[in-house]
Amino acid sequence: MTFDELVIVTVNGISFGFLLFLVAVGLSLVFGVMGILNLAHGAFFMLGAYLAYEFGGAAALSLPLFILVMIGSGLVTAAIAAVLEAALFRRIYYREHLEILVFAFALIFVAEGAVRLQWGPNPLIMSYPEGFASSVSIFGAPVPEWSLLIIVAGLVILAGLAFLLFRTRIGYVIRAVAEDSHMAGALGLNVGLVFTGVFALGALLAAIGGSLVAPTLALTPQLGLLFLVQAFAVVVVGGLDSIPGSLVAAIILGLANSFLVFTFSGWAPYSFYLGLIVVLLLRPQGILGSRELTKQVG
Amino acid sequence: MAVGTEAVTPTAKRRVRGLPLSLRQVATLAGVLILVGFLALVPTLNFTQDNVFFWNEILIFVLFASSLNLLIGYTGMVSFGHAAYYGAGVYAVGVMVSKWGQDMMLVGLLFGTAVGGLLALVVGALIVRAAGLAFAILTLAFGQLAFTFVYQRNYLGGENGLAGILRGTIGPLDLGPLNNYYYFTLVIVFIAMMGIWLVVNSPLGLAMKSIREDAGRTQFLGMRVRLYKLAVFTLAGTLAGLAGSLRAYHNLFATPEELGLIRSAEPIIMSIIGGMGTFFGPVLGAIGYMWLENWLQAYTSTWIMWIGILLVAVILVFPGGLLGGLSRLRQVLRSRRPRGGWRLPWQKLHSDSMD
Repeated sequence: MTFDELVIVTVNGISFGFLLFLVAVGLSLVFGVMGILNLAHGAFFMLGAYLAYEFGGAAALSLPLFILVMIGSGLVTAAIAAVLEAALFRRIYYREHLEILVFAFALIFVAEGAVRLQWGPNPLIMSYPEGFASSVSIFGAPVPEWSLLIIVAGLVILAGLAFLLFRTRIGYVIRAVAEDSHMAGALGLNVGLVFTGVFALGALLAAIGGSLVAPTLALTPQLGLLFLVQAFAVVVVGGLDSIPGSLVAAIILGLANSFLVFTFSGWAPYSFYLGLIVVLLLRPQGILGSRELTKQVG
Repeated sequence: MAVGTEAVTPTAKRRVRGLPLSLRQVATLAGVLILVGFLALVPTLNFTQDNVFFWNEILIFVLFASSLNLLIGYTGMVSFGHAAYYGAGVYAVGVMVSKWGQDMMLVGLLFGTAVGGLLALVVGALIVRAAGLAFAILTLAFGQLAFTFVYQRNYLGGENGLAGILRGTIGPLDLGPLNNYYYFTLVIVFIAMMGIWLVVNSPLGLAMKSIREDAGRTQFLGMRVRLYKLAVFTLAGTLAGLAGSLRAYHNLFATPEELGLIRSAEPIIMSIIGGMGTFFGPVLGAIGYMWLENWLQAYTSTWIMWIGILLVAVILVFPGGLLGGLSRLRQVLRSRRPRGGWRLPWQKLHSDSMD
């Protein structure tokens, strides 16, 4: 591996890590506040990518226009998620794991069918925004510009999220509900509104991730499932209730995947599942998490 | 009917005059006779070969879904990767026939079953220590691992899968023709289902239900919970391996989809539609789901969406599936409170163990 390759593989790995983080953070937020693992989250990612295509079209856009498209796609997805939460998800928070998992799975089916209905089964190709299809030189190595843009976008969103959660009253309320929703409700906070809001926020971030990834791959109705298991691995490895954990795990798994693709490409597809298994067996609460997934004996 | 269930339901003691059976047992027997009779008549009912092929697939899914029901429904171990053991059976037969040239079907079936069971034993030994959501995620991860393995290996045909599986003879039985193979499958699945019936109504079955209700207390009673869990996981894997081997000789093709996430979800969906944790739930669910899927596929390319909508409705409105709905209906008709009482939506809030 030459120095150039090392730089490219590292940047691509980190950029993939930020993409994973954008999807995973929604899973983590929803688990932290509502206590459920929402398998249907991948559907929001897919919806984000398709809506970006719907608003932006196949031709190359200018960067500001693309950002506008991205925000639009995120907001529409968030609105759909808010309706879904209030109408459907709210009824299953206190059900068994199995029912919650299958319920989410059913919604993935619905999303896949709906996307097929709206956009057809054939892959759709979106272009990179103008001037972002090429590479820039970093330490002499040609690094894809889009990977750098994803990293920048990821950092901006991370900063925004940290500000929202730790420096505003909204974040204060969200953390209170995550800590103890009954007590927060008893103190007069609108717990239902927080649930809906957190759910929509997670969907917004997943949809932005979907829009960012849209130019790099062909959009198919199976996209939701494809990214889901990887994002799933990220939150479990990082610790389901820990957002910093998700970030760390996303970067680690993104880099591991990127390096494996380059060196032992046969092993790369296994990396996420192996990470998932090792962490669950040896440290069930994840790298930075605090809640164990299991309290049963046996 | 076994001791355990009789003790729980007082109605089971109402006997039919002149027969040593309860009303419920007579109804069950009649239902089974009608179902098996119908299945036995499928090839002669003026159906086309496609229909025999279709009903053959249904039989295999009946077994596959019932094997998963042992895990999820009876023992409370949620597995999201059961297709790995089913697929192991499919591929074991595939490799044996198309790579090693072994054309003895009995050997193939036994080999496929054994491979499914062994894989479940190894994976189970690693993961039964986890419970609840962690266990579900681990099974998902191992399922995906198996899928990726099959998808990646050139020896196993990669994404194209293995072709060239042929049916042969077992002793004097020529299973080449589809009708003959259909009858063979019917007999094997019937025997396997009788085995499952015996298990769930045995002391082992009682232990399984006890673990499902409260693993901790079962442990305190001195039962080795992990050992039981491993035994059930292996048994379910073995039966899934048998279903997979039957599938290999049915489809004559081994494809990676047989191990995919969707294939793991299908038996869960079938059991949920029919009624999880009841013996006949997965049977009815498998028949109903396959019929519905077949019917929807003929009308629309977005059939998967309608399956999803149906499933959402079942979970929200009929949490017990078909059979659960029936028993609730019966309770309402007798104007009794449903088992567990009328619970208001928020009343379970405080017993939630996530925090």
